[in-house]
Amino acid sequence: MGSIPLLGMKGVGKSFGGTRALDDVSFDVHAGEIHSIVGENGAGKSTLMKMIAGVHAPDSGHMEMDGKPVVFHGPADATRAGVSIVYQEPMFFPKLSVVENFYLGEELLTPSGGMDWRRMTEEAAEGMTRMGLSPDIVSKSMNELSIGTQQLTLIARGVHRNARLLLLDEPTSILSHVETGILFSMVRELKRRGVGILYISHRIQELFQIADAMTVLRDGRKIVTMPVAEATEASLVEAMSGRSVEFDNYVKRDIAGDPMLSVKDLSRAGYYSHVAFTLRKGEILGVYGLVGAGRSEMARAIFGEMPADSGSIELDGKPFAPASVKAAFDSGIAYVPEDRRIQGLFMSRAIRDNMTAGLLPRLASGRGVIDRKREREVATRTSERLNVKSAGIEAPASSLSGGNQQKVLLSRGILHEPRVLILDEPTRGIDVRTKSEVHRLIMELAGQGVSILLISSDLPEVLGLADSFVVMHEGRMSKKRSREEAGEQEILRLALGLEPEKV
Amino acid sequence: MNLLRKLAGNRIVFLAILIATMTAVMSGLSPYFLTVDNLLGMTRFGATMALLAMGQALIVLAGGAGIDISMGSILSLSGVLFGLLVWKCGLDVWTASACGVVIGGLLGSVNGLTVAVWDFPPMIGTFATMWAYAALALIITGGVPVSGFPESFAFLGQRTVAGIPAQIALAVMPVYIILQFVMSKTAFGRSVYLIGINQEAARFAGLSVTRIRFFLYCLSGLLAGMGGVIMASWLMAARPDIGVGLEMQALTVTVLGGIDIFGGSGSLAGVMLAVLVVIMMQSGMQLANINTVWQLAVLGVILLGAVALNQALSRKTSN
Repeated sequence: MGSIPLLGMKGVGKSFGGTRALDDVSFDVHAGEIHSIVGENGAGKSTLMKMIAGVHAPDSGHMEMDGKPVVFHGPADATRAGVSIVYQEPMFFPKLSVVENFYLGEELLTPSGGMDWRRMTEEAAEGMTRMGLSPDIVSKSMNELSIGTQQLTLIARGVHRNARLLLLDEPTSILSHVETGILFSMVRELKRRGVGILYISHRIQELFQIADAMTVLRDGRKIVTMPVAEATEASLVEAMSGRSVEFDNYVKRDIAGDPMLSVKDLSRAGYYSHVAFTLRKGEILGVYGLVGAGRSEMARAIFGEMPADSGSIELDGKPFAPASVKAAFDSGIAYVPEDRRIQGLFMSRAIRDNMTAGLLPRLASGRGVIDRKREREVATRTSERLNVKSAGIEAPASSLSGGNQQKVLLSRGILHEPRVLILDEPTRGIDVRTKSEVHRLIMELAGQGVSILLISSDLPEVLGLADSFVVMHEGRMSKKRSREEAGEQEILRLALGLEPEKV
Repeated sequence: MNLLRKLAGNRIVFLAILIATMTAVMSGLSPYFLTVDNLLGMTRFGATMALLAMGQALIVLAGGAGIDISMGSILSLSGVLFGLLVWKCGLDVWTASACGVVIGGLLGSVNGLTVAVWDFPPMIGTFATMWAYAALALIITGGVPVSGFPESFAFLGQRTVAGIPAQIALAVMPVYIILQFVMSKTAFGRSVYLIGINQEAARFAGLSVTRIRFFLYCLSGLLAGMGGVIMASWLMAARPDIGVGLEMQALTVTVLGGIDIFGGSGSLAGVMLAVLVVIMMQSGMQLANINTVWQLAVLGVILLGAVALNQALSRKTSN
């Protein structure tokens, strides 16, 4: 690739207040290249993306396109230059149709100045077809589509306008296995057409499948740019974290005794049916399945948040039917929800408040007056135990990186001292080092006798931690298999609804 | 200069500065402004507004697009029911006062039921009770004010306790002190803020969003009931239309006081200062003989101007 690069970052830097978010970062992206940016949370990836998308201007260094210096005064400039960005959290108008979202703000007009819906529909349908999606979806409203299809639609929108450089920020974190497949073929098609692609992801295995080159960022600085062929998982992680990370956190333990939690024939129309499993004291049961398989809904029934239509739950041998979330907490069941921004945190409030929310009655006197001193102690201790990196327990949750936010959310679950801890996607979208820390914590809790229901769509995570597995597919749950019995292939087949291979 | 900007970006400091400025200007304009009589009159006038604003503020704080449009009607209806208890049933006036407050709470609980329990949009749920209660107050009185209270009842609305107007000393101050304590020191107060910031997360954290919001609508009714009794004592008559428009004044004061209309941030101290700003403005204009119609327009302008200036200042400091 000796040609003039499509995008050249020349020693760019950016500060926010006193923190240097990016410092002297240089690399090139060529046409038809899939270039991935990797780094831990807070390494500067998002700042870099936003700079290329015209949201932030560099305060040192400059950018070049086709070898010529460019300055973007706003996202509109970047769009005009052929840069298109698809953010991690899809942003769109859910009640409008796909075609309306597709052309939002840049509608095609008829000669008389009206909306040219026919041409827009045709061209949007064509765009969908080219991306491997069904053209019929253009007239549906966005909220009729699955979350994954929504994301794919937005990517199709992103590349529709002759984009020359596409920025994808964690595009697969909400996609199912099948949808990820579609995304990859989209990306490869774009590559073939000569579009340059910048790809951020925490899923390292994915990058080895799809990327041509990798640039590793750490603390706002570029560590290395290397072709994928020269990278290994271990070398990459080491470059990202500055030290080697322990991947294998599994500790073999003796799990015996009566079931702590046993669920029989649990059903809720439209979500899950005839779910049954048992969980012993100190056991980690992995619940693998794709988003939308009914995993979270099933967990929420156990947590008293969304009751089941039928079926029974036993906790420590006694029938258990939680009337409310509070009742579940009081009985020793804690649930750490999957979406930390929406279901988890109070972003504008202090870390302390976030940790102790729901725990306050226990930190208060008989009259409900909060014991501030104890509250601070508890929050400080937990913050230290989980190694939360922050400016102190009074800093707002919004000031933390994703990984540290997740730790705060986990703290709240742990502070309830549960007998059964339900973790729903405990490491989604967080960097490898924090992920490894969370994994060690899960193992430690299990070692102390906490029974853990680990819901995850991250297969290596489930395989790496769980003592036994169940798989959910379209609301149904497979039989429980032990760590020794279950293989990666078989679990994937179950999750995709395929028959287990005959041995 | 920077420090001043930073301070003025804080709503409470900003309102305090505004109050000081208004005091200086108005006492300059009229020597009567800073007299005991005028100050007493002003605070008497502000008592009801303060009570309503505190109820409104807590409902807005708890988020979920919370608003209580029915407060004015609850005030009217509990006022006339209180009046009838004295006049028709011959109940002792102080027992009846307590009943009036409780009636307010009960009327408010209907909002709690529709909004917090049945999940009606707060605007719709409280609109419904606003019309219903206002109509009920007119129907049961035939549109005629209820009067005939014993002379002793005037104590609450027209006398002073240790130099402080009775309705301030016996109602507004205790209520404010209790609520301020509850909101800043107790688990309940913290929960109100957390619910206001993120009700979904609050549910997953085990906070009873429904119960807390239900309680707040009851409390808002209770405070309106208190306002109804105080108004009756001030005028020595319970008028069925006395509360018309008061809910909007309360809402104005709430916003001016720095309560985030989307919930989750703001303080009652700010709301109380905003009450002061509004009553000083109204009193000042009365002294200057400005028509009451204009006073409403000026209220609107003050709201817009104060919020715009405050936002501009706080934006500058955060950059």
